[in-house]
Amino acid sequence: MTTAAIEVVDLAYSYPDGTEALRGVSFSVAEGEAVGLVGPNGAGKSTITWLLSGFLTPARGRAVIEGREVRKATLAEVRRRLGVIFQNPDDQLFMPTLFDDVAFGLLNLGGDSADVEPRVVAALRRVGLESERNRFAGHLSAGQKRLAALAAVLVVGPEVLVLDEPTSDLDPRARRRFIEQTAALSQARLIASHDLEMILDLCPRVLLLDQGRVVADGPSVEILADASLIEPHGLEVPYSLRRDHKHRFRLHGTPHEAEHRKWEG
Amino acid sequence: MTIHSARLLDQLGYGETPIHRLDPRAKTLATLGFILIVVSFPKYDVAPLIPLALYPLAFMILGQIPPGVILKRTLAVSPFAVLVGIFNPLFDTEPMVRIAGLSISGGWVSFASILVRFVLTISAALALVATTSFPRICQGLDALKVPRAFIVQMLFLYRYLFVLVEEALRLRRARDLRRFGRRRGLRPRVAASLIGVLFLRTYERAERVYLAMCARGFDGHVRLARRLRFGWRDAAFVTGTVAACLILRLVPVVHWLGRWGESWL
Repeated sequence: MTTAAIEVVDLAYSYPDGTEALRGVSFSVAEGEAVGLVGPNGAGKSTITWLLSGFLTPARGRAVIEGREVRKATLAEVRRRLGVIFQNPDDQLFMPTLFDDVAFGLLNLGGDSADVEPRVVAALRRVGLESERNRFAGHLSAGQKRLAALAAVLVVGPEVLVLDEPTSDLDPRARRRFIEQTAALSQARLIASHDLEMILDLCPRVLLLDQGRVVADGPSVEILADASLIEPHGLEVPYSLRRDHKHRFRLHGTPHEAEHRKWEG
Repeated sequence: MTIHSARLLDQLGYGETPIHRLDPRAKTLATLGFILIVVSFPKYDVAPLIPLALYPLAFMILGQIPPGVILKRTLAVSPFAVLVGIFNPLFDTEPMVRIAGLSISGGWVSFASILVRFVLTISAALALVATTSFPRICQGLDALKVPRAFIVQMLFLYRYLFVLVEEALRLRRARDLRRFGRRRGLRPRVAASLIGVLFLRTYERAERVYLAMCARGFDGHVRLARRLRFGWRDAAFVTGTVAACLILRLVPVVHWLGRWGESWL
């Protein structure tokens, strides 16, 4: 049996105020697989990312990254293999220049300056930010910040990536660039987002989470197209999947209807 | 200094000119040498100081710094110099020079000397800041063995200063939008709650930043890549600057120039 990149078994967590964020979640992500994590606000998506990266300790169950259970004792090893991209890139890019930021993780792994420089430059080149290496992180655009965060995580060579709302503040062009970069990766990826079009683009498989439970787990195209399944959980069928059935129904009687008929011939 | 003005100075530091490319240690040492020499001139010297203006001027021209940027900021802090020197004419009333039948006391001459020194040192320091990005100044200080704790503190302050100011501006804008012209009565209470909100947001951000650092292997020690190379250009710059200033200090160049001018007339 090959080990999964991410293995989550009966994971449960309650916040100190008593909110039950997760009530027994199980799933696994295979090597190289990209899986979307969708659900309404408060479903537990972020809690899963916190538990996987070891910032929270589960009340029950376990999370396993590359065959290593996430525990205090294994934290350093787990974090070397797991790259996390947080929701707010201003929190993620904490060093003043792009170079220093990307170098941060490498230096913590014990690299020395001479060895670090070419690796940092290579990581920046990979996301197309090589020429910006001496710039102040605060001067970068939102799209550049996301790519920089990606480079800062990739530079240490993680085997698993967890991305929390990676496209939330990007304009369409920056979003597209980020999607292309993420699609080209070979790592296992777990992507939590409300951007269902992006999930469709990147993840063949999706996990639907609500009230701390996995409601559905399967092919993205099938799950996200199933209005009767996802609408009770606060989602809506993405536009690209709506064309034939639901969309027409929705349009009926709205001022846009005539307009659309014209376009669709 | 407003946030825009601070940002302008900050952005100038990321330019690409020969002056920008000098090693920050070279620039810091040269400026320090320049300041020490300026300060070491005798109390009543005014004219001998004038040629030293070449140093900040050369910095500005070669570093492509708009003169207005330096001038405005020098003026902004000038009240301090005036305050320091304004009592000299009161205490030192002995006539010293006669110009066009007007006798000028030693106090006024030393006051003028203070003002000239002030303009020289402040503009040199500003020219240094405007041609060196803050992270590079910190790298320089790090290489000069300033304790790491101070440097990390400054780097984080720099990284999040603009983020925090922007946060505060957003809060203020939100308040102003719903104030509807009312000013009195509301102010202290609203200001207090704005400060409270700002503190909470900062606190939360600090926590997220810390977690992001941990996710990339932070263990209490911030490691910085040493990337500076002190080359022959840098050495030449420091020795050239200090030598030129010393010559102006020790050789009565202005005196000779004056004599030469007189013989011409």
